[in-house]
Amino acid sequence: MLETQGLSKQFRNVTAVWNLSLQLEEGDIFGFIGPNGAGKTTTIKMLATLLKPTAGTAYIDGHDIRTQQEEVRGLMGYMPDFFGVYDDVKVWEYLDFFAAAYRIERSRRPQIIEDVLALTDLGGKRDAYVEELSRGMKQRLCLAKTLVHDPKLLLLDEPASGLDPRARIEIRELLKELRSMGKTIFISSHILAELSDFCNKIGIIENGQLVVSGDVQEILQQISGHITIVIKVVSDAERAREVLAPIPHVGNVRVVEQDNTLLVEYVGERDQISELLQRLVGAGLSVTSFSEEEADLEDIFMKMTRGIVS
Amino acid sequence: MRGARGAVIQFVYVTLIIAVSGVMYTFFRLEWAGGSGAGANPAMAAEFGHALFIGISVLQAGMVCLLAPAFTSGAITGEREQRSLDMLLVTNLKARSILLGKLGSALGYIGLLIISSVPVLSVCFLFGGVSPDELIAAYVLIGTTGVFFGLAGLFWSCVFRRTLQATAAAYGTVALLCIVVTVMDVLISELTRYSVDAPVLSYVNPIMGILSIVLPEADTSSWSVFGTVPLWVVTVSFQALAAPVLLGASILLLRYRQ
Repeated sequence: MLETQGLSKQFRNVTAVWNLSLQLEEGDIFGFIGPNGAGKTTTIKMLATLLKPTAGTAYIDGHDIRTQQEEVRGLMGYMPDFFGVYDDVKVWEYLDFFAAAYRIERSRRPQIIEDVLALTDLGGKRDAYVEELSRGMKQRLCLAKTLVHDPKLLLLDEPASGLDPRARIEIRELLKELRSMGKTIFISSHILAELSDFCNKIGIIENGQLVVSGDVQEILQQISGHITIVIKVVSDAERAREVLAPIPHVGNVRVVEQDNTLLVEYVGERDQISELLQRLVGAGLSVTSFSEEEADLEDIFMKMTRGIVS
Repeated sequence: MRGARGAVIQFVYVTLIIAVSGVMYTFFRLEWAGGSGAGANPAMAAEFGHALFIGISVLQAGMVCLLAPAFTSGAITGEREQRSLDMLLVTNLKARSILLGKLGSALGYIGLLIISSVPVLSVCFLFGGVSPDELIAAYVLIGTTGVFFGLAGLFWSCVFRRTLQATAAAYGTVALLCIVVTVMDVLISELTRYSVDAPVLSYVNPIMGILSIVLPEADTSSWSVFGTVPLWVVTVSFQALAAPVLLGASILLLRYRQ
């Protein structure tokens, strides 16, 4: 869906992005993480055809961002971190304008507008003036505008920026809904907690360079050298530890006595993890929960970056 | 146009035209009353009709020279300042469409103001002294002047990043073409040993173009070095040639300037 090859951008004496290469499949939710000034917005603007790369290129659904800009614009939706709205324009007129700008036929526009308003929970504000909306509603309206032409790829530059906690949660739920619709989402943020339960792939950029990129779990395993499996048993956690310890590829097994939880460091192949569950059940132990530990993006970020701010 | 602002401006403009017309009529009435006759005769009426036509035409030409750049010089810089330009540029709209849309909305409102003055202007025909050719020529020149200065405003709006700078440059263009060129013509005429009857630089001055239409009694044929081609035709031709250049440059700046 998205592939960048050595994407670079230089402004006079400043190298904003250097040799950025990554690949996303359709349906991926890619978290683009980095401190302020790292090059996130510059990267997104290049992908959105707003900035011409100094070197390298990118392909969106097979279309080159340098030579096929018209096609690329129809395939992607761009939501900037800061944006303005027009005075004396109603919500539905705002969406109708952008629908026309994306060459959507007049006959289809009313239904599309109703659909995106319903999706972004702005149906009740259809006839309100855009400048009267709250910050959170404007953000949702911008997202609605981004969806009006049903793009395959969404480029979202800090979509929750400046929002209060409730509005942040609403945006996050909305993005989860988009994920379930099969959209490929490229979302930048400097707040790790926003992305941790949402992204299946991440890229960390620092000082214009992509430090790490790929599947979240694989990166975590790469850093820590193992997968941590969290197992809860009804009772007898110590016996469970004795069952697991001899199994090949099982490293340290730590027991948390208070709630009969075991934290198992596993260095083997992911498709052989089920053997641990089979052994526990075979030993007569009642397992109430068996799952992989949630990736801690903060751990990844702190280990992979050096704290360089350009 | 939403809200009272558009209607208020329209009201003020038409009131101004009516006021100017009323003042002119009052002066003419006083002149007629003070003349040898008891009232106006057809020649005097035609004189007033023509004078009214001159006044309104010059007023509208001046209005177009002042408003067209004002409406367009903030078209792109305003979008940039309120951070809505990027969202326009990522759509399937071509730069040409964006610019022509901005120009159309600016000139549309100016056109509305001009149309609003038509009832007052029609009084000229009631009094006589104005031919349809003069009327058509005047409005062709006013129209092309609006388009030209509108495009100039758009061009500067694409060059600069701030509305203030773009507006200053747009009005600088107006001042250059409406005042400076004619002053330079006068200076050239005064400072050179040659008596230059025909203006060289004033071809681009739309005010001079309007005057060449509304003052048929002046020997305007000597104003043009192109023989019998009236000065206003040369002005319109210059604007027609310059307009696509301004539009093309604006398109390149909007789309490719990073």
